[in-house]
Order: sequence, then structure tokens, then C-alpha cells
Amino acid sequence: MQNFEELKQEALGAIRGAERMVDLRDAEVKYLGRSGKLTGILRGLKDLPEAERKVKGKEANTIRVILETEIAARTIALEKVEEDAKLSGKKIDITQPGIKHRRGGLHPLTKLRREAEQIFSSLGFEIVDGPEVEYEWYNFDALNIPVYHPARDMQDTFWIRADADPKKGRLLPRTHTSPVQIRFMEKHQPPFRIIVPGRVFRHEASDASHDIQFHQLEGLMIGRDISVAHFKHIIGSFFQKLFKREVVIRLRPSYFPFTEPSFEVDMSCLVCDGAGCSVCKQSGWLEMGGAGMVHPHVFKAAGLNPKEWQGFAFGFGIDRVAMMKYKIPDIRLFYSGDIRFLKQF
Amino acid sequence: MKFSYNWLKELVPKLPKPDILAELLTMHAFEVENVGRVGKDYVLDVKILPNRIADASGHWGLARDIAAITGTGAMAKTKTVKEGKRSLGDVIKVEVKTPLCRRYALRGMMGVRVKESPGWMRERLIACGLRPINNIVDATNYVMLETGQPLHAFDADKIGGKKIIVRMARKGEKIAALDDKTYELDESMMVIADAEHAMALAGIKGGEDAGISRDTKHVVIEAATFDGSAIRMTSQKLMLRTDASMRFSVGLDPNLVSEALERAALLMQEVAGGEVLRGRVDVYPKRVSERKIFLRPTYVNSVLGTALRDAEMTAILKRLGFGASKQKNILAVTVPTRRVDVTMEEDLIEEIGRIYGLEHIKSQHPLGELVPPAENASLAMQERMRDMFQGAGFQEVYNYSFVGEKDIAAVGDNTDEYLQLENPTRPEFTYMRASLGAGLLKNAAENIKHEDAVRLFEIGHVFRRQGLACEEHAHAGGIMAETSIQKERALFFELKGALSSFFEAMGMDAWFDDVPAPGKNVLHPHRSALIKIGEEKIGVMGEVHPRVLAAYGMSGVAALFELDADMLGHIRQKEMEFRPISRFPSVMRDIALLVPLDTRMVEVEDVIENTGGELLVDTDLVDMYAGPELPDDKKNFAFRLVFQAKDRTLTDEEVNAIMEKITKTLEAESPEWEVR
Repeated sequence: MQNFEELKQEALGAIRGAERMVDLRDAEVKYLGRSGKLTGILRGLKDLPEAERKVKGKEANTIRVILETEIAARTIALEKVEEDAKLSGKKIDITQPGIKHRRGGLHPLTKLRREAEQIFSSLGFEIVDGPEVEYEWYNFDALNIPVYHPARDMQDTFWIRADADPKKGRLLPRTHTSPVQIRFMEKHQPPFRIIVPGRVFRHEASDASHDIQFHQLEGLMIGRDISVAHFKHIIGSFFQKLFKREVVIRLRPSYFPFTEPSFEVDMSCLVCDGAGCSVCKQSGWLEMGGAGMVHPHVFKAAGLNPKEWQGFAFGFGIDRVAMMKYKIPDIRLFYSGDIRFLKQF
Repeated sequence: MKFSYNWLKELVPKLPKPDILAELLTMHAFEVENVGRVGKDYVLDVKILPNRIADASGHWGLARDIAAITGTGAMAKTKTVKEGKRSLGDVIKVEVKTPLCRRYALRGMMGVRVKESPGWMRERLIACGLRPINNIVDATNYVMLETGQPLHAFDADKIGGKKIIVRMARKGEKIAALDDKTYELDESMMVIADAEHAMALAGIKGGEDAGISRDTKHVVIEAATFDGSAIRMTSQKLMLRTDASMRFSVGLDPNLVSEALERAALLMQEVAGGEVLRGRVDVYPKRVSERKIFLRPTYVNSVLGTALRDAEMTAILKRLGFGASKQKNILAVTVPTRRVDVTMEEDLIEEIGRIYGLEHIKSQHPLGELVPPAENASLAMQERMRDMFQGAGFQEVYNYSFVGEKDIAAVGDNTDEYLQLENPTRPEFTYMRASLGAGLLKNAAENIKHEDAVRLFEIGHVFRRQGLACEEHAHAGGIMAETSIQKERALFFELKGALSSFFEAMGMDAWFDDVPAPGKNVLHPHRSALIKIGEEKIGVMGEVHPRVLAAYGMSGVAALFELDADMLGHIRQKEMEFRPISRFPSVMRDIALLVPLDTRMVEVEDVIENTGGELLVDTDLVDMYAGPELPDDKKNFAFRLVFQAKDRTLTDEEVNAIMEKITKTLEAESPEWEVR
């Protein structure tokens, strides 16, 4: 009969030396199996005298526990090796391209308009729209621009070939979103704050910064005591949020028939912060749009009493702001329908 | 408008340096677009606002505004004219026959020598963008640059009958103008005539006949005020815009006439010699006097958002040459007549604001309760649609709202229904679009040149003539296009699938109906459908007619849809409500059916669903096959049926019984239907 220690070393050697699960199972059978070596020893113990049987039995059991522990440990190790081998067979080249889902996209002008709408909504402005083909009355007369007023020259107009409506005049693709001011005020009692994003049309030669159609965002805030100072606050917060940075707003005197006083709205240049660069033509300022305090004639045309209400209106070009924000060099790209351009946003 | 820095400097001794002046003007009055050096002078290109032409388009006027901004004094006094013995009234008579001429005044000169103007005068004219002609004409132009009042000089010897008549033109009357063109006039146009002929187009351009020439000895100088609208209308009709018409058409101050006329006589004598005739002819029936406006200082501060004291307001107004006196809580302000733009309180507020400095107004948070803004249902619907189409792989495009005759013909419409532009910029943009189709087809045709497949959508307004009015709707349209397609695929079904998912996600029960009597349609007559909700038609969809594809030079295949977004915005969406999920398992059975080739899926499906009863919870077409293994005129439908009860586990026997009933009903429906 073999020496316990030798048996133990031999068995441990076999267990530790097993490189595959099959070898380990063989070793387990060889030593711990029903006719295994250790099992044989344990079985032979019953023939020994009691005192010796106790000692040997204890010793044999200790070895069995050691071997079982060792087998368990080895099993885990070998399983890991086998799993690794199996998985590494499934190795792929992760630098190969993914399988793409067909991706749609929104137009950059939609994205900018939504951003603007969200900011104005958070400032309490309601979003309103109106017709793109308008009557002369809404587009001009009600906005204090009667026929043969020189201000009609300020906006080159497309006209629709049709007889004029006796009350509202001729039809035209609107030249600005301001007619919606009148349409809204006809039906709503102040105080209110609205914005009107929409498409407008101008009869002019197109180039990189002008096109026969573009989009404006009009704003109107009317109350008992709405002032220029309030306008400065609203427009400043808006551009700050839109461009996600500190900006300086300045107002310059201007003339629009439907506001009095009227201003041009400038914003500190986004590129040079006012130092002067090619983008702002060395002025340090970018022209953002026009604004002013609603003209009393406009209130009257819309059926509101100018003695009771006052407030500001403003408008800027969505296309122009989008061009600034996304660094787009040519306004006509917006209407090209070219997905190589559109997909970039 | 161009202004000479040196000229302004003569008028405002303490004039700031050119770049500082430009900045001051930009912030307080008019944008200075450019400052350029010309010889020893600087030229400022100033955008005089249209309502300020009357008072600020001359150097004197601009100098006055600069002095008000800088708070310094201005203006040299002018000398008075030395008159001769002979009287102008003996030489010429004037008759004004139209109220559109608000003032008509003349000065006369005898014995002038027409020659080139002196260098200083020529330099200033050139600096301000005018071409020197001769000393007489140049003097009138010089005075215009100085005062803003256009003037005209006639050769007195060429005035027939020694009489000037301001009248409306006769229909068909012609005038040969100084620009070597002949204009045909009508009764809405005002002329300056002698006893027989029109000598000038009032306020716009002089005529050839009575113009100044080398031989001119005696001159009549005209300074007048014409009705702005009348001048503008004539200028537009004749497409003739001049420096004079531009100034007159905004409406000038009649009181400007006298100082301009005196100045012109003085200057002309200086540069051309001769004798100034005694007296003026001056027809000025309705004298314009200073306007008075009551100004509430509290209102000024309320509009501007400032806390200016009354004294500050008064000081600003006085700097601008307004009179201001306090009466209780109100300022009584008198407005000089040159300020034709100041007619009411708000105009004065603008003046106070700009001179005080808009940059000094501090931004203020508006007080008052912030009411959450109402949502516009129709616009919100359009935004949801945008998100849905984007999610379905469509790229949004924006097309022009204009189309041309070719597009209208290509989509089989008639131009009568379209709104037509009177003045299009391009022939392909002559009409307002009545649908989104043409734009999308163009986009697809272009993009398919560099892509295998495109999916595009647009949401925008479309227009149709409706009697005198315009019917305008928001539409949502889209296109799917591929360069080529395998035979077994039909783009129709891909589009139908995309739209079905869209409607499902929108919570709308839309269905696809047959197109009645396909005619001139843009879509394939046998591969298109109407889209309806209930019985209401909300759109169309289908594969594009090959004829239309050809018209857009497009290879490959395309399918198009167009929905009325306004209608969708008004459709009430289904209320979502929880339905309990059955705890009992469902049972699936397949059924295959051989039918004639022209049998429609829906006919079979209807029979199955009507027979299946409430335990049949779902019917899906899983396969459709027609091919060599089948008889020539047959195709095979395979449906998967799902059965489930709310309260128990279904037994095989129960389901078998239903399946048997379905099979029998299907075979009874038509002798040509065969369940396999």
C-alpha cells in the first residue's frame, strides 16, 4: 500500500497537470472514483485495528478534502480557459462599419426655429402663425404703409395677378411676418406675448445672402406699460440663450412705418466679441433685425385703443441667424434640397 | 447719401473726427455705411432714413442734427441777395392749376455766362456723387446738396409765351427729357409747361427744350414743393428715378423753398455773374405752419423705460430746434415745419430716446404674472409629424413656394387653379405651388444622381385660386426614390408601410382606398391610393407615374405621398386607454389559400375576420406567392391567425372548430378559392 504523502503528491500532480477538462475528470476518477486509489485505501481501512483505522481514516479523509478542493479550483480554471477559447473563436473586427438604420433628419431652419421657439416659450411667448399669401391691407395698409408711401419701396414685393378685393386690396406673397400682428390683435385682447415664425417673400435678385424667399421670426409683446427697456431684456436673454454665451445688444435709431420709435438691433460679433473682424466687417457688431414700439396707427388698424396699450414688436431673419450659427456661406443652400448639405445638421 | 466732411466742418466748427462722427451718427441718427478719403476731404456715406429726407438730406440739415447730438452750436448765417432794378414779375407769369403743387416759386437772373463751375464746386459735387455739367446746373445741384431742396433752372428765352403753367399732363402728351429719352405721359402726371409745351416733368426731370445751354443768357430758377405720392407714382409709372424724385416723393417742407431759392440766386450770381431780378414769383396757397404737440413726460418714461426729468426732455427738444414749454404736467412742444416726420407724441419720444442715447436705457425684466403660453394645436401637430417622418428615415427639405408652367403640366394640373405672379423673377417661378409634389420630384431627381436611395419630406403651405381669394393649406408630403428595384419589391408597399406606422404612432385610424377613375394624375393609375380617416379624404399616395418621372428626367422608381396637415391637425386623436393583457396563452394557426390572381387580400381577410368571432384576435398576411409551382392563374395567400380568450386557456378542440368554420366559409365564398 502506498504511502499517504506520496499518494497525495501524485494526485495533486495529476490534478494540477490536467490541461483539459477530460484530463481532470480522469484524474478525479483515478483517485476519488469508485475504484479510485484513495477510495481503495478508505475501503481497506475496515480491516485494520480500530486505533490504526482511526488515525489512518482521519488522514485519508483530510487528503480527500484537499483533493476535492483542488479539483474544484482546477475545474473553475479550466472552464474559464475553455470559455475563453470558445469566445475568442467568435472574435470580430470591431473596426468594420456598423449596420446602419436609415437615418432621417430635420432641416437646419427647422432646428433653429425650434430652438428659438423653445427659448421664447420659456419667456412666456405663444407661437402663432398666419397665411403666406396675404392681402395688401394686412401686409401694408394696416401696418401704416398706405399706397404710394415710400416705405413700400423698402420691401420689393411680388404681386399676384388678380383683381383686388374691394376691402382688403390685392393679394401678394407676404413680404414680412408682421401682418400676423394685425390678425392676432384683431382677435385677442392684451396683455399678450407672441412670436410668429414664418416664410416671407421678396422680389429681388438672389445671391449668397439674399433669396426670393426666407424665414422671419416676428415677436409682439403688448401690455399697459411695456417699454424699450423690457425689449432690451427679452431680446438680450433670447440671443444669450440661443448662442449659449454672453452677448451685448445695442439698439440704433431706425425707421419702420409700423413702429415708433424704431430701432435696428445689433449683437456683439460672435467671432471677435466686438474687436472687429471680417465677419462683422470690422465693426464689432452683427445686424440681427429690426424692432420698435408698436405705432398707434397699427393698434387702431387692429381695433385696439393706443391710449390703453403699448408694447414692442421685433423681427429677424431665421435664415440669417442659422447661417451665423452653423457657419453656412450661402442662403440658397437651404432651398437646394441637396441631402449632402441637409444631412450635415 | 454722400456727405462731405469738410463741408459739414464749415457748418459745425467743433465737428468730431470722421470715425467718431460716423459712430455718433450711427448711434443717434443714421447709419454711416462707409467713410472714405477723397483728396483732402472725407466722404461719409450716410443712410438717411426715409422719413428724415425732408430735413436731413442736405448738409445744412445733417449739420443741424450733428450739433444736436454733440450739444454744440452750428450754422453760419447766409448773406442776402442783391437785387437789380428789373422785376421778375414783368418777365414771367406763373399759373398753378393743380393742388398737387403745394408751392411754386421762381427767381430770375439776366446776363449770366454759362461755363464750367469753379474747382471747389466741382470737387464737392463729385465727392457727393454728382456729375458737374455747367455753372448754372451745378449751382442748383450744389444748393440741393446743401439744403435738400431740389431746384431746376430754365432758359428764360425758351419759355414760350413767357408763362409757366403747372398742370397735369394731357393723355398721350410727350416730353423729351434731359436724359435723351422721350416719355409718354398721362393725366396723373404733373408737368411744368410754358404756354404750349411741357418743359419738365414736375419734380422728376427737366426737358430738353427749355434746358440750359452754352448760349443761355437769362435763367429762371425754380424751387417748388410737390405732393410726394404723386411724384412717387409718376416716377414708378415711368420707371424714372432721379435724385429729385427720390427727395420729393417722401414729401418736403414747403418752407424750405424760400431759403433754397435765395441761396441759389446768390450762388449763381457768384459763379455765373449777371443780375438778379427784383422780387420772387411765389405761389403758396396753403401756408404750412409749426405744429404743436402735447407731450406727457410720464408717457415718455413709460415707453422708453427711463426715469428722465422734465428738464432733460426739454433740453433735448431745444437742442433739436423744437420749442418746449411746461404746462402743468405736460410739455407743449412746437415742431419746426422742416420736421415733417414729427406729427405725434410717439415721434417726440423717438427724438428724446435717440438723443438721450438708446444705449443708456437699462434692460428691465418685464413684471407681471408669467402665464404659460397656449399651445397651437395645428402647429404642434406639424412638429410631431416632422419627428415621425424623421424617425422613419425621411430627410426634411424646404422647397421654393413657386413653380413654373412645366411643373404644373408635369403633375397634370391646369394653370387656371394656380395663383400667378405678376412680376416673377424667373419663368420657372411664375406660380404659387398648389402641392408639394413638384418640389419633391425635383429634389429626388437631383439627389438620386449621387445616392442609391432617398427619402425626403416637406411640410409647407400650398395655394390654390378660389375666385378672388386664395385658399391656403399646410401640406405634408414625401417621396421615396431608388435608382433601381428588385422585381419582387414594390415601392408602393414600402411607402404604405411607412405611412401605416406613421398613422398608428399618431393614434389615427387611417385606411387606404381605391382612387376613383384615375385620369391626369401624377401617380401610377394602378399603384396609388387615397388615404382616408373615416370617410374623409386626407391625402393621396402611390408610385409616381412613369410619364412624370420622365418629365423630371428621373431614372429609377419613386413613390410619393401628400397629406393635408391642416386636416390632420383637426382630427381628434384616439384616446389611449389601457386594455388588460390576457393571462391565458394564445394559440397560433396558419391557413393557406389558393385564389385567382386578381383576388384582393382584403376580400379574403374580411371573410376570415368576420367568421373568426371574438376569439380571433389577430389576422396577419405572412406570405403571398405566385409562381411556377402554382397553376398559371392562381396565387397563394398564407395567413397567420392568433386566437385568445380573456378568461380561459383555449383548447385545441375549440380552435379546431373555429378553423374548420373559417375553411368552410372561405371555400363557400368562391368556387375558385381553395384552402390548402
